[in-house]
Amino acid sequence: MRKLGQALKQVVSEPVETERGAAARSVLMNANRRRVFEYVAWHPCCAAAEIAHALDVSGPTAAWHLRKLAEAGYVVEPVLGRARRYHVAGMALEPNELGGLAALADETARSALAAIVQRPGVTTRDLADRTDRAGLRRAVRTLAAAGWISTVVDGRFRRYYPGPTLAAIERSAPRRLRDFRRRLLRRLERDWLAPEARPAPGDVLEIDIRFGGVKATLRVPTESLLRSRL
Amino acid sequence: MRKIKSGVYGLNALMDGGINEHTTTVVIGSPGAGKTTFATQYLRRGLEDGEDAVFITLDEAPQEIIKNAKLMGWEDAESYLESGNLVFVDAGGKQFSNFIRRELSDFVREWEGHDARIVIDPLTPVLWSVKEKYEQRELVSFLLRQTRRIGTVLCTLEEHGVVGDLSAPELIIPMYLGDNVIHLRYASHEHPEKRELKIIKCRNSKHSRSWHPYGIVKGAGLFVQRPKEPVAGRANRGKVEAEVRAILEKLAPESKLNAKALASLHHTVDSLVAETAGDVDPLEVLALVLEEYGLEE
Repeated sequence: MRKLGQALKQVVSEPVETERGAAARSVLMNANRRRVFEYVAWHPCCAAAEIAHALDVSGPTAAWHLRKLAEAGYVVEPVLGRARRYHVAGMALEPNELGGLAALADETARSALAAIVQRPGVTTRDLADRTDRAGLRRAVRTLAAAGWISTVVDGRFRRYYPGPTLAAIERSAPRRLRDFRRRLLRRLERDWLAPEARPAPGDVLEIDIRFGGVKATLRVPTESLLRSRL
Repeated sequence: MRKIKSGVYGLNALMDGGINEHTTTVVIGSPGAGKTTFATQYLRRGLEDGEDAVFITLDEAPQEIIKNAKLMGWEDAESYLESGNLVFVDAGGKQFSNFIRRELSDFVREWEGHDARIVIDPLTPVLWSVKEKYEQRELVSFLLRQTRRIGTVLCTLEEHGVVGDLSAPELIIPMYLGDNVIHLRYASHEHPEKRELKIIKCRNSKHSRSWHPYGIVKGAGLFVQRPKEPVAGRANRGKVEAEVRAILEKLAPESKLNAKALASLHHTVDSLVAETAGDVDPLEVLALVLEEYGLEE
């Protein structure tokens, strides 16, 4: 029969093993993977190719790190048609929001939306001057469909304004990011990475993590889901 | 509430018959006061009654504790280790406080209702593992509340600074939160050394409110002295020894004392009869030993 004392001894002495073991097994031990994780945190619903391009790593490398992060539950891989997209776990994004955010993975759509946010009421011709002309029609159609922009016909011009999705996503962003951070800190704690969070300028939260002698800092957003995309 | 015997000779009478089951007891003392000896005697008594015992040691190595326990008359301590009824948990302060925060509640849920005797010796490093006083209090409060659900807990506390001044936060917090508080006051700088103990608190019990001289003697350990009576002459010892052994043999079966515990008590008698040091009256200690086991005639 198992005795209380022996059981207690086992539980008390185990964490030392687990502590090292869990930290060593943590997917965040890898510096490139941490960069991928941060990128996903700042660019919800980004695509693997976009990450590879931004971080200057090969496509398969980015895909490998994303798979590891997804397996460990740090990153979620929602199913959106044929495309694989990624966002960090804990944000509880609705399917329609996912679709909207996914539309921003397209470079042309992003710059078009940025232009519309900067100068509400911008016309098709202005947009064509500022963006890649070839994909513009499709990008505008996608953005309008997802509610990112609304179109107003003004005589012979079409004018574009920021749409309801934009306001809704930004309004809910601080709350979602708070949930995400809470969950992330708990998770890091469970991985024995001794997280210590502190706010940094520019609506950023810096989280120091440690394992053995290695120290690293994760930077995650606190206010906006879109700032780094527009 | 059921009383359990403390294992410290002469102490139960001062605590209304013993320690209440499923409570927490805090033993405070400076170095050399006998905290660890107190703790081992407490566990030994439980083991002899067939209870489980856990010794959580944060400073001393288990081997050292066993060595000292044997010196204090617990000859067969190792046999309890082999049977698994006595377990030493050798932990660091930080490690143990991590366990308290992360795993204790699950552990207690699993073992709820057990009556083990649990010693934490000393509790001081656990307190020091957190900086904030508020957090220290939370930690100790949680520890004591949880552990008494699986047994009767005894924690020792180191007394730093001036002996008798119990105002340090690492003493105050557990003193408030513990059910019973026993202060072992040991003035090692005085000649002759002076040892006195006092029951500072003992919830739900009528307890002694005065200082009682106590001693530590090889072969028996810690015992509380009775008010002095003339020390019996050496010639008397042989006679009393024979009487004591007769009482042991006669009453052992009635008081559910197992063979092992009985043998160990005979060993205590051997050591005490051979005792020649200082002002200890071996016969007085023998009388207390008999009382502890309910063997008085």
